Amino acid sequence: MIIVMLIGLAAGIFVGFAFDVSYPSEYSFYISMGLLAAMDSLLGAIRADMEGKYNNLIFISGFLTNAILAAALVYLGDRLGLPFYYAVILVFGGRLFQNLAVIRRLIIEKYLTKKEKDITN
Amino acid sequence: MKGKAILYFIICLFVGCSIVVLTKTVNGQHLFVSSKVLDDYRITIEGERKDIENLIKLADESREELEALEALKAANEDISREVEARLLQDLDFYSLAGGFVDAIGPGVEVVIDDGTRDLEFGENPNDILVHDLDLLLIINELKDAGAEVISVNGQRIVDTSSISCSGYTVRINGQFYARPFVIRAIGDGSRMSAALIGPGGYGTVLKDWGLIFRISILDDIVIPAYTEDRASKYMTLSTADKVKEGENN
Repeated sequence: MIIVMLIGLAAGIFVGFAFDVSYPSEYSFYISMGLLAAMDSLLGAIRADMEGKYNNLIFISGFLTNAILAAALVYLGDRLGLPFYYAVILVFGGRLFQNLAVIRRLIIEKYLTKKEKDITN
Repeated sequence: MKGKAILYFIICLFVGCSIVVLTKTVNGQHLFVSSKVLDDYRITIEGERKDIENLIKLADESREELEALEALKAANEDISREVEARLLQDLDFYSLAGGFVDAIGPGVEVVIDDGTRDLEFGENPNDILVHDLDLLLIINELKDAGAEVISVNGQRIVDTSSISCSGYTVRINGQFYARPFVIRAIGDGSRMSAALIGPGGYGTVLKDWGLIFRISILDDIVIPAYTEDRASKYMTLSTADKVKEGENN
């Protein structure tokens, strides 16, 4: 799975460099919000995977709804002149760290407890 | 299992691609802008847009005019009458604007006179006299408030008019005038009087100094034509290829 992800990342970076994608700078917020939503979904999916609760439908629907809500908030903030994107950044950023912490714990439990068992045996 | 791998691949592809695209475009420049700056930009852009609209409207009008004349010409009609009417209309406007004919219309009449209060001990008498600067400032305020034609003591204020101090009199268009000074202006009377006697207006300032300042809104103000010599010695017409607009201001 890690190999697939690394290949995907490498391919994405390659695509980004190879094709000269340009967009109006006013959309950069939307792209960053999409990026945050994608990273959040990715970490959430990894966590769910390690907890054995992974579901394809939940993964993809979560990513899409999160991205749409983030874009809607950014758009609304743009219209109202209020920095609503803070909400998106804070929530996604917070969840990134939370998910990472859970993943870390799961990895530590998985490998370290095994080792301890090995030692005790 | 396969679907999961594909989904992971797609999301990772998206993450990598957007990271690269974002870094390439942002290029280290700061992106976050305060709403105040945005607002300023918005106002500037709106102003520019309005200017553009006005220019487009002007161009359209000129084009329509040209088309009308060309249509008349194509119909082989005699357009000299049409052109003549237009020219006469233009002539009316330019003679009014240039001050060659009398103007009449609603406006305000401002009377300024030297103050009559007692001077305090050691006070400079200049404090309660009307100066050329007072007249100039009032004229400027009137123009700012939309005055179309202005006269001071019957002297039409035109493009070459000057107001200067000459002892106890004031020189307007080369003629000497003493107090009281009567400034007449044609335009939106309530707006002009509000500009002068409103809080912070120059009329209020003069009154506070002790001068006499009266303003009245009148319906029929007649402003005489400019009568002084105005032959030009130095300026000539410039043609379009001699001067480029906006390059040597």
